[in-house]
Amino acid sequence: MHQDTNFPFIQDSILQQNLDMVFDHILELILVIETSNNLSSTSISSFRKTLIIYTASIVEALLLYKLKLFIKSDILIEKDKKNKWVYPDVKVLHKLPGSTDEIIAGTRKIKEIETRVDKINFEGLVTHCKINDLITEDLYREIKKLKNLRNRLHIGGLKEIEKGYSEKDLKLAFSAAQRLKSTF
Amino acid sequence: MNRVRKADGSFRAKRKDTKIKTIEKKYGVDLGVRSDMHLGTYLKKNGYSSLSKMLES
Repeated sequence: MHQDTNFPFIQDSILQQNLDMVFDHILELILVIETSNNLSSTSISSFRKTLIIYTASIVEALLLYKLKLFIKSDILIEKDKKNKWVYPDVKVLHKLPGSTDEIIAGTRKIKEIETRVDKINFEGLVTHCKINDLITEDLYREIKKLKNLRNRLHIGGLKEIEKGYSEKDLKLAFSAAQRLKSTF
Repeated sequence: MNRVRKADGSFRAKRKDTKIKTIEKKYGVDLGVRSDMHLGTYLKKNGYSSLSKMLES
């Protein structure tokens, strides 16, 4: 691990450097906003959106890292949300004549779904961290707000013309990132 | 903007105690504050206290 990092708790050197580079770019963008006298309000809003997206990428990566540390695996096993049954061990007691139906006995259980942790989306990551008490309810709510801001990058799904991104939106993003970082 | 890479090719992250003059020189900007101010202080003064805290390892 190299010494100059803002994420010393990250043991994965590739992730650590990627986080540092993204954070560094966030600081660069802040400098652009702060030093330019010619930016229109639309431009400033667009830079803020970029900052929010980059900040959300840090938050998403930290949530993923936190979840992996907790489950000590790259695979998350959870119960099927639709409560689909599986029958791992059944014995046929009687075949009904004139039919393919059977009377059976055995055990059934809710199907378990295996998911690669790094395939879980932002929503899933923050939810799993909340369920497992890895983040507080308050931080969970703040990160959900950041997620909703970040998701506006999918402009194809927007039902209205983009509203501006405020300083308040930006500070919410930074607050969520800083608070999550401090949980490590 | 060229990123600072160390001799081993790894990236050098900005630090809380990075001097403003270093940043101004690197990026060719004028942040309009004292050159010996630290980056962490600058961010806090300009309303980015969360970012300033994130610079604390």
